[in-house]
Amino acid sequence: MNQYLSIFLKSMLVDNVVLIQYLAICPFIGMTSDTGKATGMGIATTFVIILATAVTYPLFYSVLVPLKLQFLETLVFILVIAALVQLVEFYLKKSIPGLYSAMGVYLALITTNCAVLGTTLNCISKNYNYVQSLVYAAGTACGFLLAMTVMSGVRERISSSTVPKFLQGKAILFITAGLLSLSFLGFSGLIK
Amino acid sequence: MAKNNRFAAFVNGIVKENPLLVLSIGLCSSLAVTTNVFNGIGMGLAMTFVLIMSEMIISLFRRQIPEDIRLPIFIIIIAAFTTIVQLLLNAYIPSLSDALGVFLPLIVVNCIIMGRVESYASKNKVLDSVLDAFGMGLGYTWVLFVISLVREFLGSGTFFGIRVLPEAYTIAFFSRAPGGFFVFGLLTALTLGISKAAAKKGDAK
Amino acid sequence: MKQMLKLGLTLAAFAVVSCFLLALVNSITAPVIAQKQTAKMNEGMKTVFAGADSFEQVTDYKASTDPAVTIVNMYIAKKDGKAVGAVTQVSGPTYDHAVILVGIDMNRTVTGVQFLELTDSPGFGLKASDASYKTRSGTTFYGQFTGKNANDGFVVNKTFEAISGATITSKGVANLISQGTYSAGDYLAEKYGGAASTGNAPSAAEQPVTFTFENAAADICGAVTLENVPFDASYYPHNMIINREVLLKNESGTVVAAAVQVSGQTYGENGGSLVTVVGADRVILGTRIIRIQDTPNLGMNTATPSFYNQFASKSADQDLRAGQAYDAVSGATISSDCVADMVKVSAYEAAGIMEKHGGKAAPAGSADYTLNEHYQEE
Repeated sequence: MNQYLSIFLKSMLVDNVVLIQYLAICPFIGMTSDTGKATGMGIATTFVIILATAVTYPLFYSVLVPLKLQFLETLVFILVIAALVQLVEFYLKKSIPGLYSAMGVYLALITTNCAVLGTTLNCISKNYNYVQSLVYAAGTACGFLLAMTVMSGVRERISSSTVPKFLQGKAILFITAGLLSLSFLGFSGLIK
Repeated sequence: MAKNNRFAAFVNGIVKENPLLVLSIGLCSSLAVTTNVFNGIGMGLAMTFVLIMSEMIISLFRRQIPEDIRLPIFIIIIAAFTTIVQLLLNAYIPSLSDALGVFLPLIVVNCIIMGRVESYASKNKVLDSVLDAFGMGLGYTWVLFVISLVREFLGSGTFFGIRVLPEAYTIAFFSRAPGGFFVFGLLTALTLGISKAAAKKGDAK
Repeated sequence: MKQMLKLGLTLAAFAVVSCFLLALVNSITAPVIAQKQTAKMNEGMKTVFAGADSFEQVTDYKASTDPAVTIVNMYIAKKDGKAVGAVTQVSGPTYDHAVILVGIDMNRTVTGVQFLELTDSPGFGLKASDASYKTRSGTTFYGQFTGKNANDGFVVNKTFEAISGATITSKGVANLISQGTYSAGDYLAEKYGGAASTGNAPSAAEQPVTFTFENAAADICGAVTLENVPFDASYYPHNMIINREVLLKNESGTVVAAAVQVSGQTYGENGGSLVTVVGADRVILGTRIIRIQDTPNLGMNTATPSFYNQFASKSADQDLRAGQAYDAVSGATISSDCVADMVKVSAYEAAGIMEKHGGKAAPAGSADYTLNEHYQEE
């Protein structure tokens, strides 16, 4: 039990996928202007990350490894992720059309979200077993959601304050992200 | 006239529509691997290779690729070239592939490649696409070079591994995650400032 | 339909060509990659065995004699095709966990030790792998093993210097080195004519072990039947609780011994419980720990066979004092004395039961015994 808690906390805080591992920056910068959008994207991505890990992990170990096709890892994983995102799109279109239309093109963008592919690849390279991989994926996803929510909140504050002229636009967002990242570095002693 | 346009397209990616600083795409890998110049340039070149090859092949077959399934096919092609780069680096420059780590396979989801392939290569001739790829790749690489130059210098006091600043004067902050964000933010601000000033000058003329 | 088929085929075509291309590149690069990895491994091993030019992996070596320690890999170091020694990768517990590489030559002399992994406490056990930490002789902790012969054993503060404040780590590392060098040494002796070992196999770092009442009785006396003896539950000898009193009978129904389980204080908050079996002559046949909570590697080691077996053949009437009747666990004197107290009380009660069933009578004045009773010192 302890072991799983530490994997979860480590991937969510200490190695936060956005602020420490630098993954999924595109949606982090691009989609956090609105808290609703940010949370929606965060939740959808969470779902895809966990689902993708759940599917790619057994695929790797029961198909690619026995057939000595490990070099196809990147190709197979990204195709699986693309397919999964399509499935999620289908499902949302049918059952929660409101969410689907609100998310629009962003849903398809989850395919190119570095965090999804990154997490699936990390689980393999860290030699986790299946349950550990799922816990890791859950932690990563929660970390992503956390980062998205925090950033969108901060951006709301930024939009109502005066920013030095030369920092306006994207620049201030990166500086802010840097400060957030700094604060997350404080978690580094949390897990051995 | 055509030649001028081609050259313009090439230069486009380097400054005017610089993928990282202006379009803000392909950011993920750029921040993570810029802790030193060797890694930064290595990543830039690896990504450029995949970009050029992908744009070339997709432009070559642009009429054969059916619209409905273009995305999966793009993915297959980009993933194939990414894997080739992975394998080649693992075999011949393992120090670089170890340093780039998970970001090497992540080239496949680099928004720049997907974006350019979708918006440019699938609609333009091969030579144009290759030039565009070259330009974008160069634009990506030079920004990576600058960021990693700053981060390596300030964070570890070295340049390309050669010690320049005594270790006592290094600021570890720049080698860690926050440093990457900061340097990138400042560089974005700088670029914006320069382009605004250039535009003003152009208007004044 | 035809459209779908056409799409599917196009997709398949691209996929097949890509995979073919990848397989081609892979077949060219895979051997290069494998070769680079072997070279990297060889380089790592050269740091512990500089005199070799190639390493050959073997798998038929003897496992470690300590269940907690694993010999992960063994390589025969070769120079010019001839075996000149061996390098073993050993993984096992220190204060937390460590993985080391240790090299020995044909004489069982250590050629080098290197840490692959060490997760002990920074500032304490982690110094073991620190290149800037120097022992009194000027070497690093792991460097001091080079040149030492495995036959001399790796004994803390006798054949090597422990890290001050990190004895458990130091002992743990020594244990890993002992296991690795012993197995490698034997392998070399058997297959390549290396020097034989002059000592015994390293003993496993003993693990604490607890018993149920029935298992304890069986462990001490073999196959016996247990008959509960009623006792006064409100009687608290020396503030200890008597949990159970039992007569042990052999096959023919003769009473061979009595067993009493008591619970009392230990160093740990929740105390402990043990059972002592005494024979007709008032001699302790054995004692076993049923339950104990104490500091791992210290007080918990009172539950190791080499500690509790010390009480066997002691008289139930003698005072059980450290240094006389038993040697305390190093670094856990209070825990050891508390356990000894419980043994004394339970032994005396058991001897009393035996007296009622034909055993020797208690000598005069033996009921007025004293214990170590550390808890009263607070």
